[in-house]
Amino acid sequence: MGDELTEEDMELLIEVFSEWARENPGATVIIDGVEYSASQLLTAMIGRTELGIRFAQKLKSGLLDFFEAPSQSSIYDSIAAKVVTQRSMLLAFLYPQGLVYTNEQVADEIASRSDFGKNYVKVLMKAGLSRVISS
Amino acid sequence: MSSKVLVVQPLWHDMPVRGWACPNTRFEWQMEYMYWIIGELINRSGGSMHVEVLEGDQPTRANIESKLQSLHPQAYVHGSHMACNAATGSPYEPYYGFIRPSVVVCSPRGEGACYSNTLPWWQTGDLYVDCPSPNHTLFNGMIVYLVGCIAGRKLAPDMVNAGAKAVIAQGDLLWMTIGCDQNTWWREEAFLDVWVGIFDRLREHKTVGEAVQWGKDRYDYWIDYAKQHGNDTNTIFALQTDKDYLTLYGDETATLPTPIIPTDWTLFALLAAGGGILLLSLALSKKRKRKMEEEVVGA
Repeated sequence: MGDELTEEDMELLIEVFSEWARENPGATVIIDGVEYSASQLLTAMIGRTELGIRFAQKLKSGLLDFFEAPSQSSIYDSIAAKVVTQRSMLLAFLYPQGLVYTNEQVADEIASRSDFGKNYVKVLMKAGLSRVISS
Repeated sequence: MSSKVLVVQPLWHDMPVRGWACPNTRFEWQMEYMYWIIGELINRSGGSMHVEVLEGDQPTRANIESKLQSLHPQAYVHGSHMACNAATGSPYEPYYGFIRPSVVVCSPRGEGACYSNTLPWWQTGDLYVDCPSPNHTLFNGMIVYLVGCIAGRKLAPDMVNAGAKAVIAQGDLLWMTIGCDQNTWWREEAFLDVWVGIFDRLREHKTVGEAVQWGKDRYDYWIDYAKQHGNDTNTIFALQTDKDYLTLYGDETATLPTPIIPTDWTLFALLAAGGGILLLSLALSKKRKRKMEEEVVGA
């Protein structure tokens, strides 16, 4: 189930990978023994070529493994299912009285695809991407 | 002579962090967390800097302005809730069931509205606050470290434009996590380590640019640590966002002044000058005495 790639997953991975490629100019990635430049892979993902889809699938399963997220239909749902099992709270030092999010609130934001939920998952993907690609 | 720093460390009952969802935290309120971190910064700075602190109810606008003018510090540190053009402190007043701090440092609002990149506008509102009498101009020549949300959008660049040497601030929200049991309290130590560590580098006379780069590298260290210790996605999200938006304004080569320690030759010169002045004043008083005796005899 988790190996399937939804269009939503693809869009998320393209957005995150294009940022990564911009921040790591000249970076290359080896897939099945063949070395590709980041821009080659990005073009392949955007064009939904066989290579692009294969690379996106590898990224998705690598990132979900990295975060030990249970395999759900999409990256968002997998991360939401992971967040709800945690025991921590998220805080921000924002005027006037600050912000506090429980795990359940964060999971709801992700599940509902709110702007915050989408951004949360994008940031996580970014944090995992360098580590997954270099491993 | 050591560098002088003014540290502003407000404390009030803001948002509760201990409750049904998280019963075993070491802090009851969000600001206790910040107060603890800034307290550590003060403790570490005491040995090598002249530190003056405004804490709890003390950091009013009037007290901050007066202390800035009397102390003339080389560095200013402020840990609190912040907005795009403001940092907060005392007095604290009731506000729709919560307690709201006062704006104690601010610069004029910018054009339009100021929104976060991580939270939608309808959740936070416009993050500019009214600033009828700006006081961001009082930081001339200082290195400023703003530990709070989003002041990097307007307050920090305004301070630099008004003469501050450099300002370290967040370009978006400053996030952190709190562990709900003792096994995960290391998360709080991680944020302390980065935030206080940045100022440690300044105390070691590293440049502001080096201190900020150290902070970014340290966030990466803690992301790897978090991955290996429970893989809490809230913590990884907070560390990565804070890293991405940790921003430096102004002169990245700015440093805190190196203390002036007298060398052997300087000491010798000072003693010689002191001795010379003593001999000269002795000779003058002898001469004056002789003149007075001559005057008495003459009379």
